[in-house]
Amino acid sequence: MYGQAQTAFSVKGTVTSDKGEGLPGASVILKGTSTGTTTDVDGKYSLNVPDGAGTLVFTYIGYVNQEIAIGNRSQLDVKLLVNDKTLDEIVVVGYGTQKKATLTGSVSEIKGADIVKSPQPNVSNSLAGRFSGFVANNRGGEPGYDGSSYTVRGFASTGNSDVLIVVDGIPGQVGGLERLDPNDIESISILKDASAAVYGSRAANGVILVTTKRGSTGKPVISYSFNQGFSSPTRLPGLADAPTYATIMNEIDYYNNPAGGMNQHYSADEIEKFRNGSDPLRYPNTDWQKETLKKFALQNQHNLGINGGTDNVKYYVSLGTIYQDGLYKNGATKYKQYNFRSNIDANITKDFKVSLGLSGRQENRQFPVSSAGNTFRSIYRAYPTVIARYPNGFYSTGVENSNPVVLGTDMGGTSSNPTSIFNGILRASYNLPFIEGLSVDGFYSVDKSFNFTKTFSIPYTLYNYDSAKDAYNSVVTGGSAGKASLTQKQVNITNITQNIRLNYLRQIGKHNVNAFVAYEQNKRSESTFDASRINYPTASTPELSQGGAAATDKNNSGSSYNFTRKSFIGRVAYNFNEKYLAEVQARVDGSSVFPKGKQFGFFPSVSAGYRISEEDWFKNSVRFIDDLKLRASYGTLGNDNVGQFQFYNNYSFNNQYVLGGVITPGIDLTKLANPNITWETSKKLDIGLNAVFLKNFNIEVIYFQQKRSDILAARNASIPNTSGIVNPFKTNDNTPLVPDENLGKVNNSGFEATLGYNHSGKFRYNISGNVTYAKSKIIFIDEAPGALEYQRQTGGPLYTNLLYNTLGIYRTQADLDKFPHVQGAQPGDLILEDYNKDGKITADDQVRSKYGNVPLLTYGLVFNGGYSAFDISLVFAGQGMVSQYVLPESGQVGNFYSSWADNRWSPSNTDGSYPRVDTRASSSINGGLYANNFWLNNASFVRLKNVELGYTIPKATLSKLKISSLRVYASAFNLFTITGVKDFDPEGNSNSGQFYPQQRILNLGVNIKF
Amino acid sequence: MKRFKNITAVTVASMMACMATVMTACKEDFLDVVPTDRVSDASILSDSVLFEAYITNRYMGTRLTDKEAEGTLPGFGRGFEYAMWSSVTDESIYNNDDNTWLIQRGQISGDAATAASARSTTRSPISTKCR
Repeated sequence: MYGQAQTAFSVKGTVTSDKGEGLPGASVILKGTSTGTTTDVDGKYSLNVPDGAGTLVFTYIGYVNQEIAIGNRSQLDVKLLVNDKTLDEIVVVGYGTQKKATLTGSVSEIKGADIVKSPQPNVSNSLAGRFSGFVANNRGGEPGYDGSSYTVRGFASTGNSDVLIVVDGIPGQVGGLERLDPNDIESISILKDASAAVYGSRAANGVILVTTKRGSTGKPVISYSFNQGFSSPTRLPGLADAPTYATIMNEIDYYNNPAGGMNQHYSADEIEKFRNGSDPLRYPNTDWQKETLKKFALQNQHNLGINGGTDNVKYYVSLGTIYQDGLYKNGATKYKQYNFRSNIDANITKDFKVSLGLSGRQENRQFPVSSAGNTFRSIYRAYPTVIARYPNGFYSTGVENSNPVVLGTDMGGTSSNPTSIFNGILRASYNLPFIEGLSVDGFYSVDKSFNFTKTFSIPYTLYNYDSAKDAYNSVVTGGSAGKASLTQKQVNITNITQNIRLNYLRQIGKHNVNAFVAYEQNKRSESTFDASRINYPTASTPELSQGGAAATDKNNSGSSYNFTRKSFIGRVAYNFNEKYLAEVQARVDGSSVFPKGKQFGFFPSVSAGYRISEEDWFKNSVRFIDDLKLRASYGTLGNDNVGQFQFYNNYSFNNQYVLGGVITPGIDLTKLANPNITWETSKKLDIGLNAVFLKNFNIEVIYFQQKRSDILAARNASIPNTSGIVNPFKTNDNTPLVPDENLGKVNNSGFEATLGYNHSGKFRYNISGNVTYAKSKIIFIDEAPGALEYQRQTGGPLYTNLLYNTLGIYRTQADLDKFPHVQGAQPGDLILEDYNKDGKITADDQVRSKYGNVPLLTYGLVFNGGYSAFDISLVFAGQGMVSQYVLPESGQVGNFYSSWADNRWSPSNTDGSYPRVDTRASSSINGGLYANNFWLNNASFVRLKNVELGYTIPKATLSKLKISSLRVYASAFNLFTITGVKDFDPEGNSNSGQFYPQQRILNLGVNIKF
Repeated sequence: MKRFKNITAVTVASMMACMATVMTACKEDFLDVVPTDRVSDASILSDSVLFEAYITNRYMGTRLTDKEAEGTLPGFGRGFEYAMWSSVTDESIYNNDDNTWLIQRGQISGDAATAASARSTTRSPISTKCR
């Protein structure tokens, strides 16, 4: 109780929950003062106030605040209602926002505050596991190209499956999602069902809506955050050491020539020298991973934001940088980003508002000339029996003149790729005075990007030690034909979108109407310019003007295109008392991809919802359910992301010939016409149930179904090669002469479920689990006629493999005699199943795999908790019903993963779990020659995607420093993984395993607000 | 309720009016994009230079193997890149195959052979030794 000078009036009472239990520790404050108290264990309070005219504010964590005027009453009992935040939340949807309670579509949402809990600078990596219906796989970790590939509810097309990204209302904004500064993001919504139809011809693969932060009224809040991260591969394969590899080489020679015995390549004495390291020059034992890669690479992020405003002008401005180093020792791989954003909203008059959003980003990527795939290929292939660097400093030839220790550095030159991106959006809105609820708004948005690449390849020398002569033989590699070479490329993109919209938002009695019609048009222009020059006299003049002088030393090319769209959009959302909900929306989209007269498509959708819990009979009879909504949606969506100008015969200058001693360009037919080309259409059905029960539990269950038809694909397989129109001279993009036809049909269906629980109190937390099952089924694709039933793709899910089944290993000659086998099979080879039981192993014995590398099952678990000043958040992500084929490039051509080397069948280890080694895995009976399911891994996993532990320094300590809040935290990305996959990260999609590995990031950070 | 209907009617009408204005305001040919890296049948038939260039290309002959044009653009003289011209007769055999058999067996029609020749998507395993 707070003693006051004048305490003329006394008020007391009990604060209870709506169930009638007293709430202990609830706060009671006289509004506008510091006079207040808290309730006792029974929820009772008593407070002395100056007079009986004030208002009391009752607050309790987890409950809705209540303000009650005292009105000269001395007894005030208050019932507080549970704060169903989930129902009051506003969710961003296409062209607007909606209350979560009245939402009829399937929309998942994440707040920016949750995204920044991940130390991953790439936003696309921070979404996996957080909600149902979103399938993401982080395929690799190279700085600058470390994003996830993601789909909404899996794949449903053989064609393009890109999800449409809408940033601040701009569909397909240049710059996309991945490289947005996570600190600038207010929220991300994912439209998973037909509610995306408002984006018409671009919505079939789902839509992600990103909203950036805007200013709020109040004195400026300056917020600064710093993150220091340490990244290292989630996993690298173990590789065979030199003595093991030397033994393997002997075995390979033995298999190829059994008469020669077991020591054709190395004597036992030599192998011993590899083992004991007595002669490291001639008999080294090189760990190429250790030689090439650092233990960890550094990354850091700075972000400074200022947020504030008056009633008339509000602003959010921010600056950020991201730095990521590559894993290579002395590496050339680096990513550096600088970004700014300025969102300003101004009220010109009471009814007229203008806002300007400007953002810019510089993405500086730098790489060695060798691609990451090639460098890692070389690491995994390089012979452990070859030294990395000779004692005199010379680099060895590694494997086939690729020394991974050199490949990661700038010795062979660098490729620098600075990209500038600029987005500007000017918006205005005006409330029309003559009809209440009617307003008009519009925007004009300009995106520009300038993508420059400069690759300068420099020749360099590697050495081979000739022990017989005790001399080093040099080999010049890199560059082009022993001289430096340069290529430069510039890609400029301009994307202009205009939109004007008429809105009607009105509540009349219990009727709520929210409607709009809009017109939008978009023009995207892209131009590419490319030039190259070879035969540079010196590597010190990396400029196009300084290369070889002959006409044949120079080359150039270029291209450009325009893509235009115009759209008419409308939506009417109606609800009666927030109980009966209905929504109709439609978009008419015109696209320049299609022929005149067939340019426009119609994409409607309807949805409805019924909140049973708003019925009185329900409220009275079912008390444990606080909110229950049934909803459904159905609509048609399109995909126009297909090749342009296929509706007439295309002729291009694509070849050359010599006529009378003159090189003459030749024009040829490059694409046959399909005058009937049209949209890929998707019909989506979605039935969902949302409920809140026992106050703190929430559940969502969704069944979804999609029927994709008119999928554009070239009729390749069913047209015989001899027709000559299937794939003649390679075109630039390697596409066939036949045009795309609207022939494919794929269905996709499944379910999603989410269950969450909120706990308030001293230890406050919420926990939410989600699961998604999405299976595609090919109804029709252009498959070769006569494909065997068990080999056909039709009827199965997309992206499966055609492989031989394996039944183990021929342990002995007796085993070999027992089974039908291919010619050349030996003991130690994989037993291929004679699937059709015809006594022979032929191509007909291949069987289509059950799963591909797109998971049918994905799931996640999100936990956020807090105890006094500490907070913790966890995100687990997992997948199942997924497989990935990986055949390492091993043999005489490259080293072996330890898993194979240590467990290989050999005459002395006939119990090995892996087949015998061979000259080349890719052309081995056990490998590429009869691609089989031995190499098909079950890529299921559960991993701790994100964990963060934070501590907020008590305010009292900070007040002297003029800091309003200070929080320190430690976080991690991909901290641990449970999976059966041995040699690589289960999220990879490389058939060879040769890719820049995914990263585990450990991070320390601080967030200060002034 | 009646008031509500009236207001809705007025609103919808004004929305329609607005749409109509916008529709007529925008350029009719906005969606008709002319590409700059290809021409149509009409251009070939109406421009004698293009027509001649196209006809000359008809005489370029058959592509002998499915691997041709990997390194260089096809053109006269490409019979020397992989298989020799003699390899598609019975005088010699191109031992890497590369689908030269299509021509040897006469399975490519005249049209297909000149306009474009076949390219198989499957590769013969023995062709790994070339180059």
